[in-house]
Amino acid sequence: MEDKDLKKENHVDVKVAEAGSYDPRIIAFVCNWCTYSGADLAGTSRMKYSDNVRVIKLPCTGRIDPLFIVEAFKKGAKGVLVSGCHPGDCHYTSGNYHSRRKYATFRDLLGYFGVDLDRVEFSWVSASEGNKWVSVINEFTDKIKSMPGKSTDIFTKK
Amino acid sequence: MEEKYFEISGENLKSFIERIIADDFEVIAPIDKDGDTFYGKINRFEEANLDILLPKMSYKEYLLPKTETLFEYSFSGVNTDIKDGLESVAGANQKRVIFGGRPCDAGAGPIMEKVFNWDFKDEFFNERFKNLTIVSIACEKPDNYCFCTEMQLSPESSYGSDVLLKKAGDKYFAIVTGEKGLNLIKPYINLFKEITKDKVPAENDWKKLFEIEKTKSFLDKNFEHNYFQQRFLSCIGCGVCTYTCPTCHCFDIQDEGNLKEGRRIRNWDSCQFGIFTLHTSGHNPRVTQGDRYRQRLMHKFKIYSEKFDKYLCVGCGRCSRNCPEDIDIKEVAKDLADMA
Amino acid sequence: MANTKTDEKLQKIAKDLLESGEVSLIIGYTKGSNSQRMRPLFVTRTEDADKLSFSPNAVQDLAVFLKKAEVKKFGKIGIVVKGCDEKAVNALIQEYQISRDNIKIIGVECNGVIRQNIADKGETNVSESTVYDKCLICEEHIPVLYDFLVESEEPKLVLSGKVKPYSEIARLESMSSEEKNAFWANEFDKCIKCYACRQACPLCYCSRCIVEKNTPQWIDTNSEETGNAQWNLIRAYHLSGRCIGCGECERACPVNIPLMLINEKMAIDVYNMFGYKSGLDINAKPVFGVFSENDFNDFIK
Repeated sequence: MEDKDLKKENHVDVKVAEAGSYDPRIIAFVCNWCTYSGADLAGTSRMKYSDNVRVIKLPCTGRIDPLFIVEAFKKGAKGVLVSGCHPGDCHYTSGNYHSRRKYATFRDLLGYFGVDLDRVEFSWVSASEGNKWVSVINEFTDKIKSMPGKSTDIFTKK
Repeated sequence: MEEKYFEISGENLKSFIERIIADDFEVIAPIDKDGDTFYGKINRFEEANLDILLPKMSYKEYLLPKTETLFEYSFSGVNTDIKDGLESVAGANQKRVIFGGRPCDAGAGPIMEKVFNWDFKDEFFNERFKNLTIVSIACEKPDNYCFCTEMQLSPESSYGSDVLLKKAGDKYFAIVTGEKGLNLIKPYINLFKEITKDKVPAENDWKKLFEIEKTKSFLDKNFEHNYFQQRFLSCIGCGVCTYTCPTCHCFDIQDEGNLKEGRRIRNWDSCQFGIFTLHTSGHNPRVTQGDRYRQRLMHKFKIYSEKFDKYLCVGCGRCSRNCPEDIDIKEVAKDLADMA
Repeated sequence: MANTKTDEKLQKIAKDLLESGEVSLIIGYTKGSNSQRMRPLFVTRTEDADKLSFSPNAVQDLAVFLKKAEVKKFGKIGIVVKGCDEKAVNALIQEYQISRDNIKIIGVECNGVIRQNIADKGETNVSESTVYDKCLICEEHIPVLYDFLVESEEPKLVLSGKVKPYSEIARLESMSSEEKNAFWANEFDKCIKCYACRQACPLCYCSRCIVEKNTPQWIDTNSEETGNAQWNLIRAYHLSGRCIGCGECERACPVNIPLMLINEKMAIDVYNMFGYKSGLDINAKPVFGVFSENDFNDFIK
């Protein structure tokens, strides 16, 4: 798995593979210590999960600025996932606690602005939870795929 | 062309506007919106609020949009396609009428035209200006913030208007200043009755509160005067004065896009922003808000007039009415004139 | 117009402070460009203190000046504040932007300020239908913190409950995503990116705002639907848990975007989730500077 640099590569837009199929792009912002390792575990264990997701690794969920979510939507992502260490497990002690506060309010604000909250997902995935990572991704992808009509939001041109 | 004079009844004015709307003209007029009045498109004559003195914003955005695409590009992997933004301006509806604006707003057009045609001919501006017909209504009662008379115009000035309407009871006198105005009313000429100039009432004798030349002569000599720093301590640099101003025309050119597609745009900008003059080195020649407001005064009342023989201000008073900290430019200009 | 008792008290306090050298600048209100307007006044000499005044037209939040470098230079500053504005001073102290030792707070009891657009049309009456929504939910008619207090001579604001402040918020919350989207798209379409909302805000004090950072350009510079939505979302979010509800952004907005509907919604959210109200206690830690292990976790898988 590779993490793509969102700013350099603008391949976040929807690619329509075949007529009738909806292949939305999903961006996952993950922390280096837990979720990225968990995703790595899923990969080395040869588990399969949806390839709609593009993973972007950051040091900590505390580093994942709400602007990143906006940026992903701006570039055409249909779903955004933020994932990090379980409460109490943060490599930097408290980064995930701080980000939880931030995201609780930011998520509400997004909803208030008319962004469908089914398109933003948050999860805690530890380094040993390869299984959980796979199920979070697959469920989220299925959900996004089931709502192709709800793809408008205020960050992209109509 | 010489000016022509007409008379039109209130009822006929209504049918005139409704008929041009029916004939595909886009009519922009003051409309009540969000608890205030703004310029906007009308579909019926009644939607226009002709009693309001001035809408909150000027109609500058119909000459210089808040964001204008200069060109767009797209890269397919092999070829690069470039689309000139001017095409969409030229291809847009060329029948646009601003109706019910005031002489001050109308005066802004020809003043701005000078800077957009000085060394570089700005085709975007010219194309829009060419396609705009301005039907203004003379003011009967300016308010305390108005100072068009001081700014070489007047509440009844026809400068910049293609047609100026003057209300008299339930009818209007119409002064048609040129071809553009005549072309607009020609198909509907039976609604108008041509009269001679002497039938149109003479302009009132509008009193001036101060001489703008004096303001200028103060600005000529007192760049470093303490007044600016003290008086504009209360300026928060919000830029509302410049954004609501009919003559402020600064813009900022920006690129948006990526490897595959993108565009070059120009957005409104303001000399009141700290970043406006910030150099890459980190040096900023205009450090304080006093410096920045002085720049606005200098540009309006000194620099522009030296270059283009017109002051860059029509005295509409929007900057004073809309200033959140109640800085009144008329009061400031008078202060400066008194100190000269 | 003659001085009211409130004016005289203000002038006396200002004179004493300036004479004793406790402060070198007083920021207050004085009469403005028409009889229904007030404007900020900066007093450095005792003889100018006579111009100080207060009325239900004193709409400005003077705490906004505390972020200006030109004003900070004065060192010790006295400031005339209403209850709402005073919360901004508290928030600035909480965030270490100013020191409590350098500021003398001259609190004025306020029973509501008249909405400026109707005051300009001649409205002089202070009543629940003429004041700002913020005044209807105000719990700090007397500032929570002050060094001097000037009590009001105005009658108390009578609330019949007929006027529902910020009632749009509940209506918006009950809408579907598409309807909310359409509502805000329509509002933000008006935005001209003058950033007056930011400049008028006492708590927007970043020396370089996120919109001015262009490597990368996080917020699109255009003032069309995309750039406007991004800007308004981020402006609002940066004030989440900080906004003290003075409403200056909305008042300064030249195109009448109802920004307080966003700010107030965030304030309600933050209070519901974390039990925190901004600007009430200078010793409290800002809500996003701390956390609790038991924080709201329902939305996380």
